[in-house]
Amino acid sequence: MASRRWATIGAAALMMLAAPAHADFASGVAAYERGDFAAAFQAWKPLIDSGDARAAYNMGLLYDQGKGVDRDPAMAVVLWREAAEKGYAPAQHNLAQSLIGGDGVTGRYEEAVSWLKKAADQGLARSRYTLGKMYADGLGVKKDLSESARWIAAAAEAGLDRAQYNLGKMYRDGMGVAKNLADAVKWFRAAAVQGYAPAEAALGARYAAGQGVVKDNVEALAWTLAAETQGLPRASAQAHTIAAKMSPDEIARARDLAAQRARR
Amino acid sequence: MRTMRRVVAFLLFLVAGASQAQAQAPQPGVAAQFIHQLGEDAIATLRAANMPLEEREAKFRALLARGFDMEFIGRFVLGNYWRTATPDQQSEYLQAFNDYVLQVYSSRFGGYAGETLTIVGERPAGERDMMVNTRIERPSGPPLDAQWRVRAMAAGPRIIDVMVAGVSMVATQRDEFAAVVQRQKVPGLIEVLRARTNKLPAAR
Repeated sequence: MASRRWATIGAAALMMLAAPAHADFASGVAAYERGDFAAAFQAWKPLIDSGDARAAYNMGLLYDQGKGVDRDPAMAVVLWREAAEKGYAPAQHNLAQSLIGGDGVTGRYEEAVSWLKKAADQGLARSRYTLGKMYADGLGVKKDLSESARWIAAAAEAGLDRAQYNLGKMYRDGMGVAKNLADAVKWFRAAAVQGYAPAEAALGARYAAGQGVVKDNVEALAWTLAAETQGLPRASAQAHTIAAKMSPDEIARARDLAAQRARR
Repeated sequence: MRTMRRVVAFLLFLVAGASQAQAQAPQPGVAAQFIHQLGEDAIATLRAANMPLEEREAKFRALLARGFDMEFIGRFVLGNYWRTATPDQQSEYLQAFNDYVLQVYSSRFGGYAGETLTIVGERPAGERDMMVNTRIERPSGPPLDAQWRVRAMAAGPRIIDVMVAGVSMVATQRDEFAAVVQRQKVPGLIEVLRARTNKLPAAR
């Protein structure tokens, strides 16, 4: 009986300790949202000492981007490594990106791959995508195009636009998967409807060539214009090439279609 | 040596610009108005407090993408390595460069803290460009003078360089990229750029 009472008191004491910590994390987030990075820094800093992986991860972002502090990518790496070792997937992912980019640390592809695998196993789509790219380029792992396609497909299925676009390219070129133009169009479209500019241009090019989809210059130009509006390099040249084969009426219809989609 | 490289880079930049047949200097007032409008839109976007920070930054990136000629800048920044890259590498690089520049600028300005941008004036720069002088007042520090080099492209006026404290962003970037390409070749540079734009946002 007495031990249960002590357990209750102990639990209450723990909650009292835990509650302010949570409140501080949230107030740090609120400060971050309104752009008061110095206040976010002050709110998260004490939490790191108590081993809060999320606080360490967020502090890492402040240092990586120089928000509220002088930019210090090496400090970001220290904080992300601390959170990554506690198993926090976003920190594992960002640490891997710093290792690949040589940002605050000498580029070490092998270590990046091992963190990416941990985060990918926890289901992070971006880590799965990056791991796929590492296999495609043979960085930190032996080049393996089918392994690359497997990871990129996993990220694409989860809805990551750049993974969908890359999977589209792999089907288009038969890299790591059997060439399949209809599947290429399917994945370009999946990323294009999310507004991913390279996929919009790629889908436009498929329509213009009539590969994997029925040739349709109006659709081709409309998708290319969507990419051009976003400032995608080379979209403008592609738009000119397509428009050169079209009547003024067709061009007007393509512009209307692009404008309609932009409003959605 | 570094200064010399900058000077050479800048001269090359002017030559590269001169070969752009369709380009010509914007009419007086056009470039200043363009920068003014871009600044107004940017401040309005960054001020929208009912949106998460990363969403505001994404909208800001879309604005920037329309304001800069990323292909022109990207090609120039890669220098002679552009010609050694395969067509696939060129287009992968341009995409990665585009994302990288937008990411750097949007996260730098993402923490908007009441800055204002005032047009100080404009003057012709070479035969094809206008240089728009601006002053950015910051509550957090001394004002910052920035010059925007604007060229009339086929799609409208576009920024092709930014100078802060007399230092060209394009020339600085060119030095940095050359160092990476010497060590890791063009695919290595693409990976570096991609890694810098592929990080996850803050935890909530």
